[in-house]
Amino acid sequence: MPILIHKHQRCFSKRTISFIAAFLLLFLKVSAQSSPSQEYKVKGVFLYRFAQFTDWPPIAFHDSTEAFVIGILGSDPFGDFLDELVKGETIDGRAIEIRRYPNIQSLQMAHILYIGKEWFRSTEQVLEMLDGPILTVSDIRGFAEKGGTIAFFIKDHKIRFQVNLKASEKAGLSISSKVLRLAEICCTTNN
Amino acid sequence: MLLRNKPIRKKLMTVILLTSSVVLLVTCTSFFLYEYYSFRRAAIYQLTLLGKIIALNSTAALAFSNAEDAEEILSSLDAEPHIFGGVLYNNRGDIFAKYPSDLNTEFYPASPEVDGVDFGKKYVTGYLPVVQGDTRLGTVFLVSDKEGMYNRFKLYVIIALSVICVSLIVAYLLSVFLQRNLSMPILDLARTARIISEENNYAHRAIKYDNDEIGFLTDAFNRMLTRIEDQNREIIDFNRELEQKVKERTLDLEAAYREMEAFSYSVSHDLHAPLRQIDGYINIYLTNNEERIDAGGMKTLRSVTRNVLKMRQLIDDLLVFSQLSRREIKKVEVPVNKIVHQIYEQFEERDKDRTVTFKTEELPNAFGDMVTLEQVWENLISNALKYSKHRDPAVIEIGSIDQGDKLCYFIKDNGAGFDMQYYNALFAPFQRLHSNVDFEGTGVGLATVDRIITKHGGRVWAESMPGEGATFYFTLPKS
Repeated sequence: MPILIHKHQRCFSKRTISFIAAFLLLFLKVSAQSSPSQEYKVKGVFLYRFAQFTDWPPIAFHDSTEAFVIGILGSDPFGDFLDELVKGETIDGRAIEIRRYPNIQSLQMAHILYIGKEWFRSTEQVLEMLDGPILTVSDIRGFAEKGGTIAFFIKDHKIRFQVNLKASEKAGLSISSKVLRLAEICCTTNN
Repeated sequence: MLLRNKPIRKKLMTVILLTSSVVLLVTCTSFFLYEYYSFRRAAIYQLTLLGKIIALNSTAALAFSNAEDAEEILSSLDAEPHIFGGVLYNNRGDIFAKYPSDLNTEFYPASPEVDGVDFGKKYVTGYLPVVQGDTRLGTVFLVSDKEGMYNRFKLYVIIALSVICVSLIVAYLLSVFLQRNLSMPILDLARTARIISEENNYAHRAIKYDNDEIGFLTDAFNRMLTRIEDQNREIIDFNRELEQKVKERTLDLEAAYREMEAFSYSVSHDLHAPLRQIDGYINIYLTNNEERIDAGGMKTLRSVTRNVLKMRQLIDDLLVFSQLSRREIKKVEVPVNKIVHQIYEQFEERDKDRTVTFKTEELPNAFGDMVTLEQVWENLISNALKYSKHRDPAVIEIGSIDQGDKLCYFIKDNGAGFDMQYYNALFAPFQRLHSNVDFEGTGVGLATVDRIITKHGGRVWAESMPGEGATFYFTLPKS
């Protein structure tokens, strides 16, 4: 499985860095519009799975017909794939919507929120701003320790995830033990 | 059927044992079948149950493509050693995980088949869906061997056979004891019957055991025996009476007979004298008055003489007849052939103008009394000649038939014959079947023949048709 790993490049000048960063971002944005990489296909599926294997508290929905929202904050690495994946599928009889929020201000409803990697510096702040039963998922390194619910990571060429139980409890979510068994439970001791 | 000629004891025991065996077999088979279906149901249930549990547990593993976790879940199949393999397929039908890792491909398909459990010939297989919420994530497949069932069946068969053996032994012992109640009275009855028939002694009685049908049979049997005894006694008494009567009658008969013979003798003897006188005086008269008598007178005198002769003949016949039983027969070899020819020649001399065809073969010698047998032939031949005198030519045939221990002679003529209707009168003395006008006779001839032949221990009989002659037969024992 091809792996996309971001590394901080400190060898070049600030100008070069920002230029390259901008170019990369653009590239990412462009490529995000077309089909995503295999890794993000799998991660996209996992997002859907998390929705299947987690119970949201009643307050998460106004009524029984309200759609289930998977939100993507910032850069969208999944592209059309996610939309195709959830088309016609349901979670507890609810239709699934994919909403993209480019920035925090535009942030509205989401049951699952995928936080893009660009928020790696301000993860805690973003998480602070969230309130309510939201399952936060991200690729950001150390996301779970920072208070996010589920963090993806790669191990032995396989996509794994960490789960922060405290965070899920705080959000009023109950993640199926079957999933927890597969996950790395993080942050059980106060760190 | 095989049982038909077997003794009652064996029949009864066979019936009991056969019935017991059939009952046992039917029972065991029913239980066996029940066990089979029970086991089958249980096996299907168990496989379904385990399959469902595994499916439930492996949803996440499938959902998150975690094959290791899936294998770990499948490894819980170790708990049930008869389920020796499990495979998880994803929703595309590809093999996701299998346990044990070296499970032979012959036991599982490359892609899952229709959901459900199949109780196959060698293995039990099942496909169960792995579902999370509304989504089907894949299929779990389990395969179980039927060793458990076979082991149970083996055990069951061993137990069943042992039970059947023990039961049959018990049934056999019971039957030996029980059939006695039934067979003893019957066997006793049979034994009594056998003794009675062997000893011819009707004094025996059979013992009555119970008051059932056999008891009734025994009673009837005994009553029958009593009746037979009584009847036998009656018969014996009656026989004795009869014999007594017969003796008396015989004595009476013999006495009467002797009287008759004496009478016949004296009468005929006494009658001879005056006849001799008559004959004599006629002759004297004839001799003395030959010239004086005219033709008419001669005719009359000749007629008288003829009649006197006839009367003498009759008296002689009577005499012979009356003397018959007095004479003892002396048995010698009698030359029948010679006698017959002699008699015929004598006739030829007397009656020259008759045409008679006399056919005779070589007649064998007889064994009997010379004089009386001569008389027999005399009578028979004269009869044949007499009654065929109206035939031209008269045909007389004499022959013999060897009948082993006796000789049979016959004489056949083509004369007037007689009606068989009157056969009974044929050999009776003084009974004539033809009038004296047609054929003269005394009526003693055949009676004499009958007497003589009967005395010799033979038999005389005749066959005839009116107008078509008669055939007379008589037999003489050879020794």
